[in-house]
Amino acid sequence: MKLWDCFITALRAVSSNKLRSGLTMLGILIGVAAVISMVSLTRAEQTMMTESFESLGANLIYVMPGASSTMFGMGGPLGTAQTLTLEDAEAISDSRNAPSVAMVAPVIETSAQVVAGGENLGARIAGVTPEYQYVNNLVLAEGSFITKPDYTGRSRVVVLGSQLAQELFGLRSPVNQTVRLDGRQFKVIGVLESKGGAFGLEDLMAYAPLSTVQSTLTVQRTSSTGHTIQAISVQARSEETIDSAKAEITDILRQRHHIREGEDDDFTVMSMDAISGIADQMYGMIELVLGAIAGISLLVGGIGIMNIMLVSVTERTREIGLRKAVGAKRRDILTQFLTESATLSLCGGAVGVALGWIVVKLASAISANLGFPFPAMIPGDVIALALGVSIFVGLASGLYPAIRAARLNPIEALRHE
Amino acid sequence: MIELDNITKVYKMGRTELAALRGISLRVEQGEMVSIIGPSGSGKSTLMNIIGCLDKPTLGQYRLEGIEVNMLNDNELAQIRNRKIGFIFQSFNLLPRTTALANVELPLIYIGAGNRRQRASQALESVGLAHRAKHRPSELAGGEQQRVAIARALINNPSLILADEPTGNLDTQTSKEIMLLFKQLNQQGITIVLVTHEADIAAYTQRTIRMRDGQIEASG
Repeated sequence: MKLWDCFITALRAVSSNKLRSGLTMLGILIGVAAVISMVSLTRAEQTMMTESFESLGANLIYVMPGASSTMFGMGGPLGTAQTLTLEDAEAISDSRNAPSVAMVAPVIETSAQVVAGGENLGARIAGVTPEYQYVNNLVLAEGSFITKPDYTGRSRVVVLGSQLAQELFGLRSPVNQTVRLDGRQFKVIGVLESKGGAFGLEDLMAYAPLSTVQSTLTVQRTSSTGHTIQAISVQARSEETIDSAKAEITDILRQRHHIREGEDDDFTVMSMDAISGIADQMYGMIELVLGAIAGISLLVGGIGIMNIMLVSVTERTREIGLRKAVGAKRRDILTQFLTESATLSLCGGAVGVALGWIVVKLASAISANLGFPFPAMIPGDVIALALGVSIFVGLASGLYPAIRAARLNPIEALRHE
Repeated sequence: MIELDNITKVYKMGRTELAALRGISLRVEQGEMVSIIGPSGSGKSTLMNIIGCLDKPTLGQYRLEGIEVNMLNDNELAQIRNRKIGFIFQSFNLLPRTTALANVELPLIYIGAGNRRQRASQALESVGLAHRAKHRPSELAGGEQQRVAIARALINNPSLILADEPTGNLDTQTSKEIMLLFKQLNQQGITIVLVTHEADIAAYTQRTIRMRDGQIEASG
C-alpha cells in the first residue's frame, strides 16, 4: 500500500468523525499552542535583553560595594555597603597598576526632587565624570555631556535622560533651560538618546558632575580610604583583557581595603558578559521548565490519541477483517492506523502552531499598546520542532493500537459484531 | 482448481479440542459452480475460510491452482486472496462513509495498481451499477450493496469467487437477480463456490456438497 493511499484513507477516517477527532486533537493542540507562544515570547524577551546588554557598553566591568553572596550575584549588595571610594577609582585608573583598564568612571547615586517650570518629580541623580559617557555608551540626543572643566569646577550642570526630559519639558528643548534639583539651580546642557529595552530606568535619570553632586546634593561621606561612592564602571582595553582587568581591579581593591589572604572581598567585580551569561542561564532554565510543561501536555495528548485509536480499532474490527480478506497485509493495516494517528496528531499540532501564532501576535499588539513593543515572530525551528514532535507523538501513541489492529485474525474480525 | 486432501481443522478451546473439519477431500474444477449446504455447526464456514486462504488446515493438503497453500506465509496468503479470490459476504461488508466506487477500488490499493478509478468504474458497470458509483452504501438498497460487493470481488479478475450466504439478507426477488448474476459470471469462466442453507439457492448451482459434523455427507 502506498503512503499516499494511507494518507488519503487516514484523512477520510479522521474527517468522518469530526467531533471526536477534534476533541482528540485538543490535547496536542493546546500543548503545542502553549509551547509555541511561550517559547516565542521568551525568545523575543531574550533578544531584547541581549540588545540591552549590548547597548550598555562594550567591554564593561562593574565594580560594586559589598560581597557577592546572593544567588546569581545580582540584586543584594548594590548600594548598601559603603566600601568603595573615589580614591579606589583613581587607583584603578592608574595605568601602572592596571594596564588592562582603558577608562574608569566612578558613580555616586542619590535621589532628588527635580523641578522645571510647573513640573515636579523625583528622580535618580548620578554624579559622574566625563568618562562615564564613553564607558557606558551614552549617546546624546542634543547638547553635550559633562566636561572636564564641569567636573573640576563643580559646575551646576545636568544632562537629562530622554524620558525625564520629556516629562519635564514636553516637546520643548530642555538645553540651556534651568531645573532645580532639591532647590538648587542647575543648567541643562544635554539630553540623552533613549536606551530603551530592559533598562528603561536609565532614561529616567539625570547626570551631573560627580564633584557637584558630592558637594551639593549628598551629605559628604568618607571612609578610612576616602570619599564614598556607589559604583565604578570600568572599560577594559579590549574583549581579551576583560579577565585580566578584573584581576587587576581585584588586586588593587584588596590591597587598598587591607583584605588579608583568605578573607572575602568587600566588593564585587562583575563583567557585562558574566551578567548576560547569568541572564542566558536564567532563560535556559525558563526554557527547560517550558519544555517540561510541553512534555507533560504532549504526553497527555498522546494518551488521548492512543485511547481513541484503541476505540477506533475495536469499532472498525470488521473493516480490518474485510481489508485483510481482500489482500491487506499486516504491514498495510499497521501503516494505515499509524498514518491515521500521526495525521490526527499533526493536524492538532498544525492548528496549535496557528493558535500559538495568534497568541504571540496578540501579546505583541497589546504590549505595543502599553509602550513595550517587541517583534512578534515564531522562529522556524520552533515550528518545525513542534510539528515534528506532533508526528512523533502520533506515531508513538498509535503504535500499540496499530499493532493490535494488524494482529487481528481476519476470520474473527469479519465475524465481529 | 481446488484440491483438498484429507483436510482436518481442530480448534483449541482452552483445554478441549473441537474438530470443525474431519478429513475433507474435495475437488472443484475450473469453471464449476458449486454450493455447500449444511446445518449450522456443520463446518461449512470453516471449509470456506480454508478455501479462501483466510485460515490454514491443521492437517491435510490444499492446492489452489496447483499452489501448495500450506507452505505460504501470511503475506503470501494475503497476496493470493488479493489476486485469485473474490469474497462475497452475507452482510456485504462494504466500508460505510465511502462511495461505491471507492469500495470497489479497495483491493487495488493493496497491490498499488494504476488507473484504479477507471477499472473500478468498469467493474461497477459490469454489475449494472455505473449510475450509483458516487453513492454511499447507506444510500443503496440491499441488492445494490451486494452488487457493489460483487464488483469489488471482480476487480482483480479472480479465478475463484467465494460467497458466504450471499442472499441471506436479501428478499426473494433480489436473491434471484443476484444468483442470475453469479450464473452469468460463471458462464464467463469464473469458478464459484457458495455457502447457503437454502435449497432453492443451491438449485442454481451445478453441484451441491452437503456437510454434516465436519464431514461431507453427500456430493454431487
